[in-house]
Amino acid sequence: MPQLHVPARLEQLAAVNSFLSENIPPRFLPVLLNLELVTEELLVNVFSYAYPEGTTGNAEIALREVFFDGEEMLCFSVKDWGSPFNPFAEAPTPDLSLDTESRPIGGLGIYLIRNVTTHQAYSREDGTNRIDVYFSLPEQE
Amino acid sequence: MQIHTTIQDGVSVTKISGRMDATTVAEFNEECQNLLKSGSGRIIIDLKGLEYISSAGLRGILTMGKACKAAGTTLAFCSMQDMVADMFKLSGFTSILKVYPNLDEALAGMR
Repeated sequence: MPQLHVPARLEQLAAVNSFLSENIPPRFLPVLLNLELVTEELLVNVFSYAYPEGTTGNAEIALREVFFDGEEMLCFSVKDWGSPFNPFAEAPTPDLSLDTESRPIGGLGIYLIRNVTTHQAYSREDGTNRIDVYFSLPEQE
Repeated sequence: MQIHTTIQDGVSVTKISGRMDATTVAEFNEECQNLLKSGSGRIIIDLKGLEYISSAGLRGILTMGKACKAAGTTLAFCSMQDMVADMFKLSGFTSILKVYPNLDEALAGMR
């Protein structure tokens, strides 16, 4: 299983993106940009909130192909050793009907993840936060 | 990310290419502030070369939208690639910002 261990810092994004392009199974290539999006949103969360300010923790990401309810999917995982945090429990759905002046800045990250993935899971185990998101196999052209 | 601004028919046209993410959005924000400071009354952001945008980039876009509203500046976006168009649509930005399929139509819309 392709896996990458990185210091939880924003500057790691480029290295993480190289890891994704090199390790994504070819059949899933059409979802690469969405995979990069999900990765950035989740890692920025880890980089910003998981560890106390002034300290640098680690994050681990992994890609694997899975069979989920009879369907082939790509599972992307992010693990950190920070304080407990379930991003899917605390993210309200943004109100898309508001006009430019009233729309709050931010709050879109988790909403976008929910929209570009098929399943999302969070678990807390042995002092780690673990997120698994699943991408369905893109439809063949 | 590359940013290049020209004046066309009296309209500021800012071409953005590459990726707008948490590490590059600050460059876009800076260019937006310069555009507003220069007093451009009409601005088109041409996204033809932009292949990727994340929520950090979308924050920059909305911030620009709000600043232009407040300044009475006309702002439009054009020529989005699929991924960027998807994110604008998911975020509801296509209904609050002016979006055109290409630069010619955006310029025509500014007249």
